[in-house]
Amino acid sequence: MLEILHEYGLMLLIGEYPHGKLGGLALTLIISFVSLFATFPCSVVIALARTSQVTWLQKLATGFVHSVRAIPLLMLIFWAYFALPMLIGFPIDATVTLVVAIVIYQTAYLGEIIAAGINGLPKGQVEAAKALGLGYVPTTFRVILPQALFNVIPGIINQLTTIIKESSLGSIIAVSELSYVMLQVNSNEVTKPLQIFGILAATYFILCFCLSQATNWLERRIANKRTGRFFVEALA
Amino acid sequence: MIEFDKVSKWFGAVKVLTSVSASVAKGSTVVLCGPSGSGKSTLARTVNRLEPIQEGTITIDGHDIHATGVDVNKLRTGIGFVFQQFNLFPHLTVLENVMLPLQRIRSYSRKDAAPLAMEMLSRVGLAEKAKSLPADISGGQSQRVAIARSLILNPGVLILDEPTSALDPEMVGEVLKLLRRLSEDGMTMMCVTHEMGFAREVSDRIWFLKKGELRFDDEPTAFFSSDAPSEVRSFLSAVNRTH
Amino acid sequence: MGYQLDFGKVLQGQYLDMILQGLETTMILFVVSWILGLILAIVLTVVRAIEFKPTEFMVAAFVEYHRNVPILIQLFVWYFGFAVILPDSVNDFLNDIGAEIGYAIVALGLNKAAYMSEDFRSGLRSIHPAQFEAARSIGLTYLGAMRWVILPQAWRLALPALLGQTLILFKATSLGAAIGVAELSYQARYVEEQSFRIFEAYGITTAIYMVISFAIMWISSVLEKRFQLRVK
Repeated sequence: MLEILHEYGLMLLIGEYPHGKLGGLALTLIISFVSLFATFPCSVVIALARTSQVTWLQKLATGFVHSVRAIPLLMLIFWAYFALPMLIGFPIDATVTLVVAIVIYQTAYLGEIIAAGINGLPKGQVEAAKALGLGYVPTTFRVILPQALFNVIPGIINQLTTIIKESSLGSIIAVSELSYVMLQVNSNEVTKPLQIFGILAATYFILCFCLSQATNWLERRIANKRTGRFFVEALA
Repeated sequence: MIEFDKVSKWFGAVKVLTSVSASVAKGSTVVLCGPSGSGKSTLARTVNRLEPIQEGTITIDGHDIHATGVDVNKLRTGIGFVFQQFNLFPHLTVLENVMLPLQRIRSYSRKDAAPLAMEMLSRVGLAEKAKSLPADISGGQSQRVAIARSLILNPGVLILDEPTSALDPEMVGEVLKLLRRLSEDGMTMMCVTHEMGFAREVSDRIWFLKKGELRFDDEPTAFFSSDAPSEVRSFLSAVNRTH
Repeated sequence: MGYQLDFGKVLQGQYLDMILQGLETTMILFVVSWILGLILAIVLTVVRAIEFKPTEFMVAAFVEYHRNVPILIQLFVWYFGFAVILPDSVNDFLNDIGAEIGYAIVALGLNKAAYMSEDFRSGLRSIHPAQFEAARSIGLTYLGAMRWVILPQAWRLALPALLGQTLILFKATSLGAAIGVAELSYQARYVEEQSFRIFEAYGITTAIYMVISFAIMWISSVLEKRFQLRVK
């Protein structure tokens, strides 16, 4: 295993760069973080629509969420990869189509998480804001969202973990992220698949495990801050 | 019927019960009271061996409940136990809760168990709630179902651990009324409670515990008289302030 | 744009056959993996309940591996990695009988077993400890208490999560395409390549996925309502 790391290590980390485009683990991380940042505002919009009093808006958002959740991510990736360039009129880099697909998919899921965060706030918050004479915009952006988003920070980081795992699907459409690079190493080496895929699995494992431990720690700290020690013990 | 002989229980340095000796006569109703932390709940829970003891013996009808060869499950079918938090089984209806001991311990069929359970529910005044789920009935009703469930196998003794402490005030009365009826019908009962009115009117003896020791064991008239020990009188005045 | 939608071409003859074959493969993959996953999850939960540190650690490691590694990679590990362990004769035999689906079933089944065992575990943990005490105090044995009081509550509490995992499993069958399993999305891509009808091929497959997913979602909500455990 060590020889593989030694020989291909740099390629695993950054792909073909500087001879080609950036790839490997670096690209995986870039795709993941860009997707999360792009998803975030969209999912806030969806969450607000899902919890809105305006019926048609709520139904539209609900329809969007249910529809996206009914489709495998792979199909969304195929759509983005094959159909999007045709719709727009010019070819798009595969990495961009991957990000677009992940963003659409995660907007639905992260939107649900944030909506749950909004619904989880005590009703008294909205009532207090109304009693103070605050309109919809200040109520939402200064009272509701700050609290809801703070409470779902662990959920957001959890989705980052999910996005990192979903980025591996890029290998199916030849995006040079970590998994695709490993597949190429495997076809090069042929005789050492266990070591190669072992390293691949271990890399994702370390990334995601550390993130999920951070999520657990954050969950405990947030519960402690918001509701006191009693609930902290209940979480443990 | 139940004999406690120098019963002691401790956790490391913490002494929960210290050399408690007393007896519960058959057909009598004993009320256990005392400040919190006095060990009264623990003492009640030693009878069906929910709490182990480190020293002393407990006998029921002359049999040592900790003797080797004693089947603890068989022992427990002879003892009815009612919890402060009712602990009904939420996945079963009221009737199914009461039928469970008949079906799963005595292997009754559903056909045979149902009428017996219905009769028990009628005795506690809840026949019309037979098909309801525990989540849909009130606290007072839940506790009465719990009492019905504990009596379905005709135990020789009924033990209650603060049966009304978790109830809203307006529901305490219905449960106490049921317990009074059971007492008058001749049930042997040990009841841990703060309800001093119930203690005065229904019990045959009152046990007062403080810090794990049995400090007072006498009839209600002695307990509530002005000749009672000072710690009893100060306990009573503290209880009266909150009631 | 200059693109004429022509669903008719895709919905007939060999293309339709391919899509339907893909659907059949998807359903087989889905159902068999689900059964394997469920049985293994029950085994894992029982093993984990036994207070023995080494086995507890092994189960925990199993669960963490499957939760932190992407499903696609788990498929690769089985498909590429496991084949190396087997002798050549076995590999030739497996390739002849189309063993990719076997690897996919194993990978998906183990993955779901990990998630489902966690769902069972949290179902068990959310039961109030006094329930066990109450069950014992009416005279039930340990096994009796587990069978009649604890486990009936545990699976009802775990049901929503289990149904969620079922939907995830159904969608994850699409990843079988990456190791050559001729399931629905694999066939969709094949039809698209052959007929050049991108929108129609993907449109129909997407519609099929959505119909089945919605069916799963609807059955889930019916079951959840029926078996919901209300603990006041």
